[in-house]
Amino acid sequence: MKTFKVLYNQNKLYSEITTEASYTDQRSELSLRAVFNGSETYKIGKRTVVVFPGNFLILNEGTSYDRDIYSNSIANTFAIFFSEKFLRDFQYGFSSSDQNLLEEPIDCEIIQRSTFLETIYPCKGDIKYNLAHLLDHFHENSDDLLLDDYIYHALLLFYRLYYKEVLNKSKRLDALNASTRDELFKRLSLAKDFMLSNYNQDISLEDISAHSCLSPTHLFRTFKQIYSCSPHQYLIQIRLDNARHMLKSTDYTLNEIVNLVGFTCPSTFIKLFKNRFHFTPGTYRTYVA
Amino acid sequence: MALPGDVIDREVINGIPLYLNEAKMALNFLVEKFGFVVHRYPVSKSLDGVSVCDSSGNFYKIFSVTRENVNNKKDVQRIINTTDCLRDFYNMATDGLSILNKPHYIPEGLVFEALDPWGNRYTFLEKRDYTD
Repeated sequence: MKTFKVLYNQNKLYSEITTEASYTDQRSELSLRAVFNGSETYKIGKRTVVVFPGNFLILNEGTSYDRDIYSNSIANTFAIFFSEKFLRDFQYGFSSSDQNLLEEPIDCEIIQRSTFLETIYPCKGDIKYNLAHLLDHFHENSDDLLLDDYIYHALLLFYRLYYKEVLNKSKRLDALNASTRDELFKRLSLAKDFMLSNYNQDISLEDISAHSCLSPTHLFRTFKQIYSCSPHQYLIQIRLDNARHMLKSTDYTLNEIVNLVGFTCPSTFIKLFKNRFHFTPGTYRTYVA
Repeated sequence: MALPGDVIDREVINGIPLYLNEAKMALNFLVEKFGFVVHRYPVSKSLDGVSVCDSSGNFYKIFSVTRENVNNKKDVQRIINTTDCLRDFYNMATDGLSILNKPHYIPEGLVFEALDPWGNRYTFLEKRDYTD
């Protein structure tokens, strides 16, 4: 099932619920793409990025891509397309009083940005709530002005996230100059995206290193500067987060989840899960989820 | 969330005070605009002492007072939990209610403040779990 709506200001909302779909040679406005169930694969140039629940992808205006959904369970995908006019109005209307909406300070220079690092961002906290409400109101065919309020907040929250996840984190790199630092951060984002897209596969540091065009030693050292953990620890976190999502929202057995998220040994999984969330997976599913 | 039928008297007695004149009109306003539910009418014919319940299960006790006293009681804080702050803000703004500030983010979630026509101040809070 596809649902599409063009709002009065040319912002667009798109939702698709399916197990199989394929679209080639797509091009769009600046867009935010989230998945609430299942997964969605994007081919952007030579890169392949898979979006799972708990993340979203940003694509800049003019980016060409292919989009595929091949999922065992029903994939529930959602996209916001920000119109040029809306972006201009947003940037123009962003006054100092609106900065109170944000916890972190954001200067006007960041707000004036209209291209962003095309990477996978965490769909957590306020933006997760905002997108879930927006999707509900979209399906309920709510008023355009209400939908627009959510889109406004989605963009505002994305700017906050961008400040935190990209601009702040890139400053942690001990690079010589800004352009080297930006390039290094981009490559580390490729490494992160590769892990987020392939967490359920058997991947090694060498695989991640090859996809990010960094030597294993350089990757290991710089990744730690940005994400405060090694690539392997980051991969474990992704697997555990996805396992938690599956425990909460699916009926898969524990052994199935262990395999689906890329672990090989159930006892190792249980130990790691308990260390991270302070509950065993069974207890989490019964009492917390 | 407590339901009107689940209430115990102590909660009503300790309910958050609402100071209003034009009590009947006020009651209609609270029910129609804020979605409050009347929990209990007093034995007397006066609306003084009516208890109402908001969608979060908070109980309020209405006190009919003069307009001057209403003005003196504006500072009492009344927090109404909502499941969708932006929706409530949009509906209230569309209905022309007095909005004190736009929805903004605080460590507990998303909030905005509004006034009823008698000057009572309400904070609408969508609590969010940021540990998930």
